[in-house]
Amino acid sequence: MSLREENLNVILAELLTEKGLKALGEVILRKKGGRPEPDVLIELNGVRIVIEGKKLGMWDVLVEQCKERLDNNVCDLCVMVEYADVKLRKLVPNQLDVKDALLKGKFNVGFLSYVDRAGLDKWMAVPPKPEKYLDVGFNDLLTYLMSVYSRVVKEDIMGPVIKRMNEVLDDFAAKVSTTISIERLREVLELEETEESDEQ
Amino acid sequence: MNSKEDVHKLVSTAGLLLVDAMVFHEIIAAFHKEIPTLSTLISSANLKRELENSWQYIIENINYEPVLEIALNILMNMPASAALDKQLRSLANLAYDIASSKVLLRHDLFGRIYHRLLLGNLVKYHATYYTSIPAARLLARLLINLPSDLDAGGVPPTYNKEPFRVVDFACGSGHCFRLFIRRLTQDIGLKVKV
Repeated sequence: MSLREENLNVILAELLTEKGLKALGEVILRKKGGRPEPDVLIELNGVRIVIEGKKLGMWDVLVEQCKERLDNNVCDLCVMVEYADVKLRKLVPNQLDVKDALLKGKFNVGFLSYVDRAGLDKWMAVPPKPEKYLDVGFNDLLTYLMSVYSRVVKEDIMGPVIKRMNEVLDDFAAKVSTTISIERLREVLELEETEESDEQ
Repeated sequence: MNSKEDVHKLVSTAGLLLVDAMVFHEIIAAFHKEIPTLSTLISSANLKRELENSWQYIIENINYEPVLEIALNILMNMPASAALDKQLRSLANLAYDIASSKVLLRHDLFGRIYHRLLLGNLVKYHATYYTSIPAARLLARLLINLPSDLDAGGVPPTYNKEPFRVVDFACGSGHCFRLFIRRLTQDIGLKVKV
């Protein structure tokens, strides 16, 4: 493969946008602008998706890169693509040749989302299940991506966290409120009850 | 405001402010080696006193008074007891779990929790309403993208031929500002000084 991974990533993102993501809503494609950014970032209905692609054998690097993107809040969903079998038939391929090769190619793909990185296992006692699919074609990649996107937008990462916080704060309030002066606490919190506020 | 439910909410709010300060403490500890981490504090015999000392030190020698002062006042106005110590340890463990997840911290966790858990009757005292992140994102986008006199072609950008300024008169946790700055830097490529 003579083409740089960066170019493949951008063209793959364009193909995914054209062939399916547009059907889900508004898509904005942002290409790298000289800043320390990913090669390509798709914003789909406000959800930021980064595609990180590398040649075969670089899976661990991809996973680390995606974790970094998510932890640094660059994206909400990161797609890892290993170009398992993408054949370019010309020595100097143009964009159409690359698109054709990608459409006929095979990939190892995986997905990591901010939900996975939120460490929900701590709150729900259910470890996140990493997703990886081997040797899939372009259409399967698109289907997996759309399905993961739907899951990411539906997932409420705050739910389990808020549930536990609620429990801890409830317990705190129940056990501590009998031992402290409420008037004093109200003063500290600068909460003053007034006639006006009661009327609102 | 002395019904059992109101008292419960008041003390819960104090608890949330303490958790918030503890999370903040853990983040500060990552940058200042003289500040003990939460796990060090949790293992100490007197957590209340250790927290008070640490927050006092941070306020006097580092910064962050707006965040830590109220939490310090809450703590100093709570009489020491075995029950309080046990409850503070629960809060500290919760804060530790939150602080260890970068993703949670980046999703304006406390603003959302405040809104969902505690507002209720207390909203009338604060007269606040929490702007959700998607709504803030939409506002920022409208401000930048709708036709207007904004000229972002130069540095500094101008609005109606005057240097461009943004003021949020109802700024709370600051995420409206943050998302607006992101729009400016990402969509227009401005180098923004805050």
